[in-house]
Amino acid sequence: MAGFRLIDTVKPFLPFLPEVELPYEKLQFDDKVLYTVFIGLIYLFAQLPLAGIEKDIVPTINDPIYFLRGAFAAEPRSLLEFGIFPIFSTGLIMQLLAGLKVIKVNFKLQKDRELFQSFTKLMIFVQYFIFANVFILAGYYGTGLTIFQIAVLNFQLVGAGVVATLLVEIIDKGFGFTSGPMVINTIAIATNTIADIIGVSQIKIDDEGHTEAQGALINLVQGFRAKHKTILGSIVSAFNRDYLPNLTTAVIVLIIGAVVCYFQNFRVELPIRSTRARASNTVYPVRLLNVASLSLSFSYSLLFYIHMTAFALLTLVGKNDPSNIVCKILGHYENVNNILAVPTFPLSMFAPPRSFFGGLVQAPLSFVVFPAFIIVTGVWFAYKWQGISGQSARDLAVDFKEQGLTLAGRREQNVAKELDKPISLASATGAAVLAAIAIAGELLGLKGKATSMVIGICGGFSLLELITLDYQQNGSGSSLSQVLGAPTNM
Amino acid sequence: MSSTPPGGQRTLQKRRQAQAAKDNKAKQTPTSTRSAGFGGSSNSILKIFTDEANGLRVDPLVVLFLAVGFIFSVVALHVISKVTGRIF
Repeated sequence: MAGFRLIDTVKPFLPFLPEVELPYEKLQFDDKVLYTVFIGLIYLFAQLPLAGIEKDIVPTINDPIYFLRGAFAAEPRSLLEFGIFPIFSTGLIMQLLAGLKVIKVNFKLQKDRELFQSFTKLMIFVQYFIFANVFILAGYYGTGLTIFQIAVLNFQLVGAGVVATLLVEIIDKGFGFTSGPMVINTIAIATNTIADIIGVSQIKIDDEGHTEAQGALINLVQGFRAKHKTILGSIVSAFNRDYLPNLTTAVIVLIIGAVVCYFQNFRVELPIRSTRARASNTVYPVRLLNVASLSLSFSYSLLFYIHMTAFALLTLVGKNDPSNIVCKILGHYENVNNILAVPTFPLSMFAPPRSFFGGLVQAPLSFVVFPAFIIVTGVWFAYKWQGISGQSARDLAVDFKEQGLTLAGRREQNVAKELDKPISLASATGAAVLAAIAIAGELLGLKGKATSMVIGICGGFSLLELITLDYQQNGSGSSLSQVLGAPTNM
Repeated sequence: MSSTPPGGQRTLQKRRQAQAAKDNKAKQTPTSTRSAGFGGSSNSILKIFTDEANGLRVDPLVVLFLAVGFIFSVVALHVISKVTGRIF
């Protein structure tokens, strides 16, 4: 069939796909705050443990994606086992493919845009279903599950996926602020970071029933009162325990956050002038972190797919048996601390080491391949994405022309070309810088916390920028103006 | 300075090329919803759902209540499995 298009395949499923209505009119600033906060809360509450699996099961396989969870707000053994990963990755990759004309979509047509969106949604649901069942069949939730237990697990995992997708959709459609996946991601990352530092929840750590606080700082304070440990021992343990967040990682994560904040202000200022009025010279800023957190999210999406595919192959086909042919080629999983399933060579090349020195000895190649993978995919994505996202040099040149602006000292016909140089360079460099910061943290053994911090801070800044703009334009009647200050509209 | 006289083959060729470039540009479809002028993802923001597609229309408030209901149903499952010892 000549006119076959991938997005048309969604048509038979359309009547079953839930679709949130668009708001009749633009929502008030306060309503948006309410929606966003409530959706964030619902998402956080949905991180409750799965029902239907026994407490004291010995799973045949542990958590194989522990270092990818932070970037996608996923909590192990909870309803949100995969967090918003399918949403984020499908959205990114589908839009990238459409922009590169791999998938044929004409975004000018309403019908095409709707089909594209529905297709993305269908793919998201399908992925939640596949991932859930790969985990169930691999024995992650224990072996010998009855049919009924499998059905209950499916109901919970896929149901939570559908709920998460719809929550994202509500924010996306204008009931909340800007972008659903990024808002939820930022909220979850912020909550986790705080919980890692000052979380007071007590977690059982050994068979004798001793508990330790989740928060690194709280744990240090509690260590002084603990009867079963010496003071010195508890201080040392507060800095180097590896089953729960420790103070060393907390400090590194905070430093990484500070470094990302510092890079937020890097920009090139291009002098522009008006073509209509004389002597009105201003600057147009091109930020270094032009593509912000999306490049890192893309790299991690690819990593997630690699590891999910490898996990499915190794556990379902190879049975995680080192003598099996599949496991001989790809490596197998080793049980660490009874929580993590750590891949061995060669799959380990695509995973960050669990500790810096241990990693240097055991898996030196992951110090080369993993950073290279993150940087190369990140830079490639940033370069492509800035061209297709609708704010490329060409689109900007059109905007400039409409507003009667031009670059000072350049020919007006060449604005697009002249803009393209700094913008594409900044995007690629910014992506490389972000990747380098995240990798520096990951190689120190942060198990995904460094990346989540970079994504969280960067995403937070991108959102803040648009929310502030929204506040300036629509915040005049806001009852929050006491707290946020009166909106200053220019 | 080129010494070729104006007109002739080369001018025709140039015109044809310019026309072809123009046609090509017109035939190009936009690369994203934003570049088509309908909002959506920007350079640093990922937006997935921007249009109201055909499908099972639901009100956002209904979705919020259903989400809370879903969470409570899982809590209920926990309670059931606690009471009965193990789940069926």
